[in-house]
Amino acid sequence: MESPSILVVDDELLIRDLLYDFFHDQGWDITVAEDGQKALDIMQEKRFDVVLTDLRMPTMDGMTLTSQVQKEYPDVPVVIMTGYPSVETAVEALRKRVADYITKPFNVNDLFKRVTSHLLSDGRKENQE
Amino acid sequence: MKIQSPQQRILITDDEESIRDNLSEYFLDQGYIVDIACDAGTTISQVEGNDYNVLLLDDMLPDDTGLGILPGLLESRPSLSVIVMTGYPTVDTIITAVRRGACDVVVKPFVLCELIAAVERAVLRNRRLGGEELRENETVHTDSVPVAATGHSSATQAASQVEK
Repeated sequence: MESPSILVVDDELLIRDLLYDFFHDQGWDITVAEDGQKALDIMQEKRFDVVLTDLRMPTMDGMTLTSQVQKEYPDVPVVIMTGYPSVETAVEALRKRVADYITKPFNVNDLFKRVTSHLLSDGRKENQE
Repeated sequence: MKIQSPQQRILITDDEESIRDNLSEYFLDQGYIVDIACDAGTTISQVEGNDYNVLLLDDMLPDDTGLGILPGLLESRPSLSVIVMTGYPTVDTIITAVRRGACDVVVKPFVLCELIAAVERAVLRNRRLGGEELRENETVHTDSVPVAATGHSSATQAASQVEK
């Protein structure tokens, strides 16, 4: 069974390191990027099962990245995480049909469960087994 | 933009009569088939018995919350596009709506054109997903009573604010 793959996009090194270690320990194939543009560059080379992205980032923010991912890779679910939640961004995320909207600070186990649930609901489990 | 054939079926759920009346009048004038409901129980039975394209669902209902009944509605009608209307928007409310499968949230008080835009987004999305062909081939059973058309919806009403 192939490991699920995730692209984590966050400009905070601490968050990238935390999530890298956690997902890696869970047996996932994890790649990290520090902004939306770098994430898109990586996605041109590699296929991911899910993208987990921060909202506020330099160069390209998470909402723009979400739009680009949905346009270029419509089958890849996007989960948003933000330390600056607002009704406006949550509604925008809803309208973009993101898989989830998670607020920081988060419990990493809860985040993992959320991300995993979207893999399962997206029908990828069958492909991986 | 007027929605052309096949006619879109829309259910408007709100406990406030003026909102039901204003919205139903507008969407009837636009060529939609419109039903109304004033509580959660009626909404559940209407959705189970009818093949609606769009549900406008107030969150605060006398017998339950819109978000509370949302999972069950989508379980019985997975292709239904649900637009939640709420007068008490919080991040948690919107996150719940995301997780329970709503396609949009409109915050009260809203300008009617915001709601119209949300409905049109839902209809276009349904069409892109191919739901239209599916519905055309299905037999539609209806037990509900259509809202009476008054036939004089105006641009003024379209721009008016609907408040709760």
